[in-house]
Parts: sequence; C-alpha cells; structure tokens
Amino acid sequence: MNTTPLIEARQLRGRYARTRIFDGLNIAIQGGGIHGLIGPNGAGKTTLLRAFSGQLPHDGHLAVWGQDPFDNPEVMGRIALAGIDAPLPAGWEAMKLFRVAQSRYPTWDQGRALALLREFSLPSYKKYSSLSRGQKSALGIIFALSAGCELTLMDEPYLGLDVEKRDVFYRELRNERERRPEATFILSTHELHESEKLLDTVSILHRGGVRLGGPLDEVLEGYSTFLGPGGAVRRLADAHAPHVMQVEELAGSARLVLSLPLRAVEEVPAGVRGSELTLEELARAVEGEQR
Amino acid sequence: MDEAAAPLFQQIAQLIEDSIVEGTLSEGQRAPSTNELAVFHKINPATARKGLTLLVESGVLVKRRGVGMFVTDRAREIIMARRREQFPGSYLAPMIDEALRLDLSRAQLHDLVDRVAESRGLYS
Repeated sequence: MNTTPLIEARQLRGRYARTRIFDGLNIAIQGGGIHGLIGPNGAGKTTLLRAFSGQLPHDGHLAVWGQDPFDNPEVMGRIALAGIDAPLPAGWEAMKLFRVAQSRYPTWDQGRALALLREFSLPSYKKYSSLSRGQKSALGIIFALSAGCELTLMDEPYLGLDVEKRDVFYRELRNERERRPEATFILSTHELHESEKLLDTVSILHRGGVRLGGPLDEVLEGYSTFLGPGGAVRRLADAHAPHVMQVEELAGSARLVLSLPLRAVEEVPAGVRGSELTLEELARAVEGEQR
Repeated sequence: MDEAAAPLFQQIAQLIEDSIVEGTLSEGQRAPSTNELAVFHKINPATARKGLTLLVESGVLVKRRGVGMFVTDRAREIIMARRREQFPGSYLAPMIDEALRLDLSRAQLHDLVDRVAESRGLYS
C-alpha cells in the first residue's frame, strides 16, 4: 500500500463545457483491482476519467504511472476508456473497431473480442450509430475488456443494458480481474447496489473533492446506521453528537447515521436496531451532509 | 429475537408500534402515510400498506377517509396487552431453550435474570 499510487492528482482543476467541475481535487488510486468512482450527477466523474485517459487538458498536478497523461502517447497506449460519453466513430461497425483497436493496442485479444460479441448477442456488421443504447454500451465494454490494458476506465458502462447483459458485464469484469490481478479497472457508477459486490476500492466525490475513499470493506466498516422509535434514536444521537452524519425522522420513528463503526457504538437503547451501511446508504449520507 | 428475519411489512408495523409505546407517536396523532413510509424506508408502497393494514386490523390505527390514518385512543393499551401475551413465547421460550443447551441450573438462570434486570433498571 505504501508504493507510489497508480494515479495521483493534487490540486487538480478541470472544466466540462466551460463549467468548472472540480477546483483543487486530490486523489490517489493504488493499482490493482476494481475501483469505483462514486458521486452525484455533475460531480465530475466523466471529466476525471477523461483527464486520467489523457484526453483532457488540466491545471494542477496529475500523474499516471508518474507521468502527465495529457496527449502522452506512451501513457495513452496503456489505457482504454469506454463509456457513453466516450463514443466510438458513428460509421464504424464492430469489426472495423476491432481492426483499429488491434493496431493500436499490442495487448488486444481478438479471440476475446469475438467471444464477447457472442456473449452480448451483438451484430458484427451494424454501424455504431444504428446500434441501440444498450448495444452501444455493450460494444464499449467489449472494446475495454479486449484491449487488455493495464488501466481500463469505464464510465457508467452498463447504461441501457438489460438485466441479463448487465450480469454478463459484471461476470466478465470479475473474470478479467481474476485473469489479470495486476490490472486496474476504474468504474464510474450509480449502480451502487450491484457494484457493492464487485468493487475492491472506492472514492466518493462530493462538492468538487474526494470526500472519502479506500478499500470498500474498510470504508463501510467506519459507519453505522440505527433505526428505531424517535426518542431512543435521539438519545443515541445526543450521546454521539460529534459523529452524527444524518438524522431522518418520520412520525415518531427515526433513522440515524453515525461515522462510527457499529462495534464502537455502546449502550444502544432497546428497540433500536443497528447495522452497517450499504454503499448506497453511505453515498446518500455523504450527499446529504450539511458540513 | 432476530428482527431482521421478520417480513418487511411486520418490521414496519413493529417500528410504528415501538414509537407508540415510547410515546413519540401518541394517541390521536396522524400516523405516517403509505407513501411517506415507502419513501422513508425505500420500500414498495404495497409493502408499506400491508404494514399499516396490520395495525388497522389490530385496532392500533384507524382510517379516516380522505384524511389518513390515526393512532386510536386505546392503541398503546392494545399493543402492551398483546406484547405481554406474546412475551413468554417470543422472548422467554428461546432464552430457556438456550439455557437448556448450556446446562444452566435453575439457580444460575434465576440469578442471571435478576442481575440483567437490575443492570437494565427494572428494579429501580
């Protein structure tokens, strides 16, 4: 863990369509495994992924493998970016994309690409522009997983995929991680329920910065939530006032989120049930924070 | 008691009952609506409705057409009476079963019950 991070940004400033998205963002992502980039719409996830991939000029310090990725062919040749905001050329069909990718990436796996094409039941002759939204997403996923890059960036890659194809995606991503444990996959996502079972590490973006991050299980362990009658929950909240993240009340009942591990919360009143937070609940609590 | 194992609509009903027993939701007050419950607990409105129906059937809530559900005057009394009735089966029987498995003697068991009750403020 103490090695140089794969990606490191300090005081990063970036804009999207002339709007400033983040102003002085700091992030460090260690290599290996699947990393989730989580945050509300407009938090800058897409902009950040494009900056990592070298496709976006930026102010401030950004290094991937210790080098500035912007317009840097040496870095860009080791990164694949896919997502609905990273569209492929409209006139290309799958086979044309595969040919181009093969010449761009020495690690390209044509056999894998063809197998995935079948897994996603995707036509090989249709132009990108005439594919459905889900099919476009699928083609992006196939491209990203077949490129065999050391760093794979996926921007909400599941958009428009049906349930079955989403399962294919999650399964294939898991396979890829198992096959290439040293490779790094960064996924921007809103599908927190599904990705909770997938992610190794996370960064939660909030108000132009990284609010919290680290190994997912460690991050989640640091929080607890309690549900019960309003009076009892309020007493519990008062007893742990410095750690209260969120209190919601509804006609005599209340829910409390504490930035404390469940086991560290003693003297839970009778009738109050405590549990760990899900990733979705944590993202919501961060989003609702007043501080 | 593993409450998490109970069906969701029962947990919803239980939580409302707990609030009535505690007094934060008092007699004559409006109970949360189906929609409010669905939003708060992130559950399907049909599940929330099922929980409320349970409370209407037991006389804890009463429906006033076009206005909503309200806590009845006897709500607390009804809940307390039913829970007292269920207390041996729901709480004591599982405890005795476990004591049996652990070979606790009658004296040990009584002593433990007394000590826990005292530490929880039952005798004060």
